[in-house]
Amino acid sequence: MLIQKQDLQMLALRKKKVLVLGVIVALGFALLFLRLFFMQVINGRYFRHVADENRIQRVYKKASRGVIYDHRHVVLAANSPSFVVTFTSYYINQNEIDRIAGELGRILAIPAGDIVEKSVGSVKRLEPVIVAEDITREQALVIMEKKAYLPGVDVIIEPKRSYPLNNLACHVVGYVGEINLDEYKERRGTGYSIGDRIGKTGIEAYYDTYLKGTNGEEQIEVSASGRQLRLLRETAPVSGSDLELTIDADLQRVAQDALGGVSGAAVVMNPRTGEILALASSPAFNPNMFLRSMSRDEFAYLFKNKNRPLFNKAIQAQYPPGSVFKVVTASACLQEGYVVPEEKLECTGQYTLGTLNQVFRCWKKGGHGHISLIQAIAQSCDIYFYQLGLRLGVTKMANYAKNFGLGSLTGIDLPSEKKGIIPDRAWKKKAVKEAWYDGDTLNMCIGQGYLWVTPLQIAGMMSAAANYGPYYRPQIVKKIIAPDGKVIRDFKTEQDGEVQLDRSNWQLVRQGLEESVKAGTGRAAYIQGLRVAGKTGTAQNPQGLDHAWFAGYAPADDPRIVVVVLVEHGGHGGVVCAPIARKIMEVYFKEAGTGQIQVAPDEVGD
Amino acid sequence: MRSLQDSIRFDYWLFGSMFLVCIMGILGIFSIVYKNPGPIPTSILIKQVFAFAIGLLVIVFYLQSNYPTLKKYASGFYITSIVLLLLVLVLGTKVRGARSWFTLGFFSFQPSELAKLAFIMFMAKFIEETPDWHGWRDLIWPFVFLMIPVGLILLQPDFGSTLVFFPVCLAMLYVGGCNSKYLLSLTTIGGLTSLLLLTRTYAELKGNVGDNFLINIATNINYALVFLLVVFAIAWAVYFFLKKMKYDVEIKQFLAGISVVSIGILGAHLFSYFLKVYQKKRLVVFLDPYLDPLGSGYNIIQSKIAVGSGALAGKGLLYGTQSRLGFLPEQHTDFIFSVLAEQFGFIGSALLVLLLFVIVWRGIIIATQARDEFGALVASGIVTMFTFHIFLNIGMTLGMMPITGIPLPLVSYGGSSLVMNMFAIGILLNIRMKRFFY
Repeated sequence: MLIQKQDLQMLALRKKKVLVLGVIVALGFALLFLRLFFMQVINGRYFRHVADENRIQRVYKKASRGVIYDHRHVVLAANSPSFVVTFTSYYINQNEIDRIAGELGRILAIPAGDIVEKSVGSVKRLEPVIVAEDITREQALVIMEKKAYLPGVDVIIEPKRSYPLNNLACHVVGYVGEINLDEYKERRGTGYSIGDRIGKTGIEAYYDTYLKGTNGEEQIEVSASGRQLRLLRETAPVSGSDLELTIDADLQRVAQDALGGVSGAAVVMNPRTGEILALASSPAFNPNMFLRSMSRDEFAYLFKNKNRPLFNKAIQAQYPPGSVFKVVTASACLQEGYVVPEEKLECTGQYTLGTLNQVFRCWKKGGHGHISLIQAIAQSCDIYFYQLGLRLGVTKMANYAKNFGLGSLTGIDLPSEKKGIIPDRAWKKKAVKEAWYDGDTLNMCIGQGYLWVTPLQIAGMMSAAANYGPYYRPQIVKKIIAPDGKVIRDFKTEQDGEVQLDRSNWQLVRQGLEESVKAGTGRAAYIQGLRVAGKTGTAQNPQGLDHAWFAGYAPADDPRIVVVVLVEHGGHGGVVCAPIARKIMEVYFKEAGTGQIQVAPDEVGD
Repeated sequence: MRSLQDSIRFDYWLFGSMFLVCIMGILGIFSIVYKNPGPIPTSILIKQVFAFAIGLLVIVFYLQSNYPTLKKYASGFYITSIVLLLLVLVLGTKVRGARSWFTLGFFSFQPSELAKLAFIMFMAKFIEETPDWHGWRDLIWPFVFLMIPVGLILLQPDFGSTLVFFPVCLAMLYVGGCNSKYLLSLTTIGGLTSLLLLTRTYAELKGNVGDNFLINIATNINYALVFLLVVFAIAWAVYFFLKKMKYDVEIKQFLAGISVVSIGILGAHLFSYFLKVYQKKRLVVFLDPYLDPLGSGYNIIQSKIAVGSGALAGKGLLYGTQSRLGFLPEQHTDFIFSVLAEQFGFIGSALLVLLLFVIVWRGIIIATQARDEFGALVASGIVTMFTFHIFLNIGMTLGMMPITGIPLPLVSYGGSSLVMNMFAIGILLNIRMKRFFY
C-alpha cells in the first residue's frame, strides 16, 4: 500500500487531536488525585474522628444523686426508680420514625410530634434520647411487649430525684431540672453532659458537684442499621455524695407551719456555731412539681403568684429592719459613750428636727414620757433613739452596722444570697446624688430609710448580742459523705465577725431585749419558765402595709437559739411575728406554753 | 513469526495495569463479603472472579483476531445492541425501578454495556467512511445514531448510563476531523446547560441562596428571555455598526453565537421541567449533602467519611468500619472506590487512580499509533468512555460530582460491565499489536 503525503498530514493532525484529548484526560485524573490527597492526607485525621463517631454509640448510665438528710438523718431528698423511654432515631428512616412516634404517642398518650421533635431535633442524634419519663409500669410493659415493632425504642430504669417530705425545707434543699444550654456551656468540660439533671436552686445547686456523681458510659460498636455489635468499653456510674444538713426537720416543719402561708420568712440558728436549724420562706412550694409535668394552676402558682413562692425570702429578700436595728444604735451609743444607762430622755410622741421644723413621730401617740435606755429598747421608743442617733452620727452608726454583719453577705452555703445596703454619706452621694441630711440619720437609727437587710443577716446580728460579740458564718451543710461512707468534708464553725463591746454594755443591751419580751413590745413571745430576749420591728414601706419583724434568742442568760421572723406587710412585729417566734421556741425547748398572752394591736405598736 | 512479533508488540503496561485494577476490585468485594453478616451475598465474589476469568478468555481469544474485521461486524453489532435494548424494555427484570437487565438463571446481562461498545465501533466505521466534513449537516446522522440507544436507555429509565454516550461521540467526531467550531458550540451548549441546571436546582432545593445574575438567569424564565432579547439587540447593533465600518463580518456567526447561548439557557429550563425531585436532589446533593442528609446526601456523607478516614495508610484489609459496619451504601457497585480508599488509604487509592491513568494513557498512545483512522477512532472512543466513567464515579465518591450511579470500570461489581470493559481493553491491545500489519 502506498502512503501518500496527504495521508501523512492527516496522520499528524489526528495525532495532535488525540493528544489534545490526552491532555483533557490527564487534567481529569490530576483533579481526582488532588482531591484524594486533600481528603485523605490533609483531612484524614478529621474524617477518622467522624468515622469513629459513626460507629460508636455512647449510652449513658445515669449516676444516682446524693441523698440529702437533716441532722437526725431524716431524708429530705432521695432517689426513686423511674421508667424512662429512650429513642435512638439516627439509624431509622423518616417514615419509620413517624410510625414509631405515632405508636409510642398512642401508648403514652402524648403527641407524636413531641417525640419526633425530641429525638430528631436532639444535638446527640446518635445516642438514645429521652422522649418520656416517669411512665407507669403498665405503659412500660406494653412498650416491652411491642419492642420488636419499635426499633430504636428502649425502656430503662433510671434513678429519679424525689422529695419525700414535699414542701419541707424546699427553699433550703432546692430542686433539680434538666441542664439548659447556657448552664451546659458554663460547665463544659467539668463532667456535665446535655440531658443531665442539675440542681437549680438551694443546696441542690450549691453542692451540685458533690451531689451529681459521675455518669457511667457504655461504648457500643453499632452497625449502620443501629444493631449493637459489641461492647467496646464500659464504665460504671458512681453515685453522688450524701449531704448531712444542720436543719432539723421537726423544727423546720414548726417554722413553716407557724408562718402559715403568709408571705414571710423565719430563721432559726444556733448562735454559737452558725448552724441553721430551720430556714423557712413562705409561701412554700413542692419541689416534686418540677419533676413531672406541671398543671396550668401549678405553673401559675409558682411563677405568677405575687407572693413569689420560689423566692427564698430569708436570704434573697431585702427589707428595712425597722426597730430591730435599735440593737445596733443602742450598742454603738453605749460603747462610744454617747449615753449612760441612767440618762432619761423625754418622749412626747413627736420630735421636731432643726430649723425646718420637720416632725418625726413615735409609734406611741401619747409618748413614753421620760425614759431610760433599757425601757427605750423594751418599749421601742423612737423619740429616744432619734436623740441617740443624732449624737452618734451616720458614720459611726454605719460602721457598727457593718460590724454586726449587716450590708455584706453572711456566706451561707446557699446560692443567690443578697447583701443588703448600709447607707452612709458616700453611698447616698453615689446612689441618690444627694447630701446626707439629719433626717436621714433619724430614719436610719430606727431602721428605716435606705437601710436594707435580709432576715438571715438579722439572725447574725442577734447572734452577736447573744454571744457577747462574736457571730458565726451561717451553715446549712454539716457533712459531705461519700458513697463509701467516708466523710469527705466536715464543716467546722467559722467565725464571721465580732462586735467589740464592753461586757457591761452588752449586758445593758441584753437587759433591754429581755425586758422587751417580759414587759415590752415583744410580750407575745413570752414563754413561762424560759428567759426569752428579743426585739420587735415594724418597717414602713411604700408598697403597702408595714413589714413586721421579730428577732430574739433564748434562754437569755445562755442563748442556744436565735429566732428571726419576718412577715411581709404583716403590720406590727409584736403582734404578728412574736407569736410565731414563740411557737418555734416552745417546740425547741419542749416547753408547753402556759396561758396564751393575747396582745391587742393598739397596746403594742412595734 | 507472527506470534513473536505479537508478543513484542503486546502492551504489557496496559494489560498489567488492567489486571491489577481488576484484582483490586476483587479484593474490595472480598473485603465487603468476607465473614460479614450484611445484606450483600458472598456469591458476588465468585461471580466477579468468574466474570474476570471470562474477560481474560475474551481478551486471549480476541487477540487472535485482527481488529479491522470489526468494521465488518460494526453495523450488525450496533443493530443487535439496539434490538437488545428494545427487548430489555419488554423482557427485562426490574431492578430498583429500572428495566435494564436480562436475567437468565445464574447469569444476568445488561445490554446498555454492550451498546456503549457497539456505538463506538459503529461511529468509528461511520466517521471513517465519511470522506469530508462540510458543515453542521454532517452532524445529523451521528446525532441520530447517538439518540437511538440513548433514547432507549432513558426509557428503562437509566439516566446515568446515557451520559457517557455524549462525550464519547464528541471526542470521536473531534478526532475524526469534524469541524471543531461545531463541536465547540455543542460543548458550550452542554456546559452552559449543565451549569445553569445545577445552579437552578441548587437554588430551588436550598431556597434563599441570595440572588445574582447567574441565579436569576437559571431560575427565572422571564429574566432569561429578557436577557436573551437584550443580547440579541446588542448583537444586532454591533453587527450593523461593523458592517457600516466596512468590516467583513457574516451574520451567520452572530446568529450561531446567539443560538448557542439561547439553547444553553433554555435547555436548562427545559431539563429542569422534566426532572423529578429525587433526581434533582441527586444532581446537586454533592454541593451540599445536608440538603438531603437521610436520602441521597447520606451516601455522599458516608462515602466522604469512608475515603477521608482511610487517611494516608488506610485502616487495613477488613478493618474498614464504614464499609464493614454498613454505613457505606452500594459499596460493591457505585462506592467500591470508597471501600478500597478506606482500607488502603491514600497509598492504595492513589495507586488505583495511577493504574487507571496508565490504562487510559496507554489508550491515548495506542490511538496515536494506530495504523488507520478506524483504530484511532475506536481507541479514542474507548479512552473517553473509561475516563468519563472513572471521573464521574470517583468524583461522586469524593463528593465533587453528582450522584449518577455510574460504576467504576473494571473495579465495581458487575459481570457484563467487567467483561465488556475487558473486551474494550482487548480491542486496544489488538489495535496496538496490529499497528504495523500491512
